[in-house]
Amino acid sequence: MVDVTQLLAQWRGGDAAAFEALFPQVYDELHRIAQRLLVGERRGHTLSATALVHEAYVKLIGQDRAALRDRAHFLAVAAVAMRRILISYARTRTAGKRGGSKIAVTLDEAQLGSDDGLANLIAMDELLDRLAELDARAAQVVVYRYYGGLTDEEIAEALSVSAPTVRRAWRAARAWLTSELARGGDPG
Amino acid sequence: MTPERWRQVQDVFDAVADATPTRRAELLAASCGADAELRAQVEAMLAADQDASAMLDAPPGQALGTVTPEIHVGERIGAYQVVRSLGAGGMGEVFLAARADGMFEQRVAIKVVRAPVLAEHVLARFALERQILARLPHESVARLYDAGTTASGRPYFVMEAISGRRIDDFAEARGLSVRERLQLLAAVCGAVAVAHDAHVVHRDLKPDNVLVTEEGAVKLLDFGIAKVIDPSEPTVAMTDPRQRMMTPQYAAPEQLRGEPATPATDVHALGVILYQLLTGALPYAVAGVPPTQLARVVASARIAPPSAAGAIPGRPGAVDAELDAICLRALARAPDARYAGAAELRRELEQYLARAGSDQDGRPRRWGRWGLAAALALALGGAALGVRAELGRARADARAQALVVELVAAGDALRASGEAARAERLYRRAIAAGDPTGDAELRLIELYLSQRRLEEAGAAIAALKARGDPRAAALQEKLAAASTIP
Repeated sequence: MVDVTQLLAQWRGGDAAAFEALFPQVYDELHRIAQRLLVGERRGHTLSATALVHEAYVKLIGQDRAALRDRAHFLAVAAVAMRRILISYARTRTAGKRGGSKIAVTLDEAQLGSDDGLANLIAMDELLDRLAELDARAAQVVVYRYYGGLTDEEIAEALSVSAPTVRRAWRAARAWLTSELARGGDPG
Repeated sequence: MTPERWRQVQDVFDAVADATPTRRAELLAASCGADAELRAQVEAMLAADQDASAMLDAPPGQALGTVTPEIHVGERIGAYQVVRSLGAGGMGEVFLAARADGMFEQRVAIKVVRAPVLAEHVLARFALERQILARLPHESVARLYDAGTTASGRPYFVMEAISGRRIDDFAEARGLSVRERLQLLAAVCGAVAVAHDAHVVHRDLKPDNVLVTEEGAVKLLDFGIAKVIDPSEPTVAMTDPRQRMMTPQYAAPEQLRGEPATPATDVHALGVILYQLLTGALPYAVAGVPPTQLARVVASARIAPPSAAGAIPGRPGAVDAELDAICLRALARAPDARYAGAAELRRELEQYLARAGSDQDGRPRRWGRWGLAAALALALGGAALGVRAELGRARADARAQALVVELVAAGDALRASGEAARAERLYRRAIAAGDPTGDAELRLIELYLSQRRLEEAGAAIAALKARGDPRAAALQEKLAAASTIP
């Protein structure tokens, strides 16, 4: 079986077909991430997860190839895509609640979502942007771990740092984000 | 805050995070000095560090659902005390509970609705429906005892607690033969028919709601609940059609169009379950289809006959043309073209079983997939190795098939967004991966025809024809028509 890293290399080398060949390879990985994002859904309710996978895939097609060096980088980029998709879902949902724009959302989604959860998800996203200005690497660690479900080792590989560095960054970032979220997130 | 300040905060945090309380106070005093702001910041972070229920520790999807679990073990819901969580679904969470007053031993399942619906509307509809639902007590329908509102205002339903597994999992695990699968589905039809007689439509039948107990008895869950929860029901002003309670993979075309559900709607869902029991696959490739496109995709989808859809791996030829016809009629696009109700589908299945049964008299019993492998392994004294290999192969088959469906769906999505070249490559990959239904080949031919690549279309149609696919003839005509246009 051809591995992800090799296919990515071929694709970066201009072999467009390699990206299509990647799909089945990364399908499982994307699905794993999507499933994790949407825990609690039983089988028979997999539309959202699958829709997420496809949206992430389409976003990945438009990616800068240079960013996709190997499996770890691919997963990292996928995590970023998942974050964008999830947050746009959350924003759409809150907009819908205010009677605003009606963008197509998945059927299951209408059954999900409390106001608090959506508000927190959006607040967390904004806090993450603030963290990125203070410490880009710490913010990346959070995105990979929270939205991508990557392990410390996978994150370390993607960022070319050691796993203890990842753990240290996570602990501080987690503590800061959690305390800021509790504070109501006023910029301080 | 500035990046420099953040580094300072992080350094102090790192230094004191693992220190003992006494040492921590000393370190904080030493590193922060008169900088009260720095100290407050670090102390807030230290408190958060100890917070075991931080939002970041749970998958983000949970934030999308509920931030903190509203129902805990030991909590009371009405007259019941929560024993443990039984799982969560699109509709809400289900708990196992016992009478809080200890009056009875009775255990119940409580479904707490998560949907953003107004509890009073749900309860009003439940009051209307409960008389009808009370008339349903059939041994195969899980009883619905009561409904109410939790302290936080969520509607809940108290139901009979059932210990069983999904019908498809059950069939798989027990290695049921086609005959046994049909018998099981006929029993499901029997239970649904009782409800249809009482003018109750389930509206959300799917393997999740069709359980089989250890003894092989069928139990249907959530009867009547879909209607009670559905905000588009006439008892309440129409709110949002997206909140309709249904599961896209099992929904009938009319449901996807937002039309009212009838007994024929349940027949369609039973058809999907039958298709799944016979092939291990879903009749429509709806995975990945945007919800706005669902109705259109299902309305124009060609369903491959179960016999052509790969059949249960390891048992080719187990589905004959007659069974194909029954399944496809249950799945007919127009409600009128289906069996009128579950009773009719049941009759049809039983008649088929009676005919097939007389054919098989005197022949050895058709072994289930695992059953045969197990018998062989035993006969050969080969322990469980053979069984494991068989299991592995079957899983690989199912995976390959799911992959093909995904590839075709992804190809369709790309084609719909004008990415024909990419779509073509995905279809080719699906064909290379086996293409058990011939759907990928079909899409490729349509793509060729639309691009007037007639020679390639001709070759592909010939390939389809060679596989004995009945759809080849119509395509041949299309090709001929296309060829006459200069």
